[in-house]
Amino acid sequence: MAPTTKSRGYDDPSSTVSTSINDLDDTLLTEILKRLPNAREAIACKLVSKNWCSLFSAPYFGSRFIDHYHKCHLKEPTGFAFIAGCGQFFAHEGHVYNKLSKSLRKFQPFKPHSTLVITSYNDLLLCRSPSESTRNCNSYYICNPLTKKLQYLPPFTRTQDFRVMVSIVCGDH
Amino acid sequence: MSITTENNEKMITLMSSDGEEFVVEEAVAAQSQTIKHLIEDGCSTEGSIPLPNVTGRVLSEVIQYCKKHSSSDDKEEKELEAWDAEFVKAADDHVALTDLMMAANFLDIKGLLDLVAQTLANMITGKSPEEVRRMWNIKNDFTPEEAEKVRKENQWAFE
Repeated sequence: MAPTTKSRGYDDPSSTVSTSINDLDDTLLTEILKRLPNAREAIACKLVSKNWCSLFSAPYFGSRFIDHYHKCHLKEPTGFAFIAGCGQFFAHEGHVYNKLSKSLRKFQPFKPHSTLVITSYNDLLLCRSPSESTRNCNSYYICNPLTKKLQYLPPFTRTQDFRVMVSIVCGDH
Repeated sequence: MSITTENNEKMITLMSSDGEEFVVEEAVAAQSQTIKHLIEDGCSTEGSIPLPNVTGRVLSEVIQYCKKHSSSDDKEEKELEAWDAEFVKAADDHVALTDLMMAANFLDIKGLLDLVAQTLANMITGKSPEEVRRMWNIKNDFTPEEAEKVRKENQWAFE
């Protein structure tokens, strides 16, 4: 006969002991983890376990995190310095700040109707414009409209079914 | 079973997985989209609505939340926020937040799901991976080499 010792309540299905975080499926775990305040916190959590690590690395986690972040923090973009504090951002392709883009069209290197401001960190903007040289590939750059300085990101090609994810990741200094 | 009270408020009976019955106003129960749809589909006309995934202990907490939120209007937003904060604090003594989260998900009560998920996220914030593991009894299944690899790939986040 098997020993009757119970070490952990939640291992025993007949027990009334509550569930733990380990019982949540990936969808619910994502619901929690997408609410972490910034990407640094989220990425640091990759080291908790392999399951958490794979969850954070999954493309859908990134988009949930971004969507939630935008909902909470970017309700009313008022200018390119509209984000303060937290420090790290992701942005995914397709998220367009139309108002922002319009107000910035007079700045170089913004080209009318083709440049999208994807996200920003303080004075820095992360932008996308269709590349002139490569087909099927947009070019991304970070620029500071005040100083008119601009830095292109290394080009990358898009594969089928692959959502391009770009981010501005800044430390506090 | 649907009963009507003196104020003409329709009552609904909910039955937990362990057979406990709760009689609540329809407006309270309908905070749950799942229950709302069951009522709309006519599932409440005969007997009680069975909720096989939710125990009585958890359901009683959920009903508390729904009662509060169905009786408050927008003007009381601040008060409601304070109430929510107390609610999750107390809930953790009675039922685990994870139980509450699963119930909120099954019953489709968005506000409650948001509230509990944010509370759990706040508990992680500022903690090291080791502290998170200890808090929630999560097994560290990384080998030292694998952990080092993850650390290297995401160097900036660990600085």
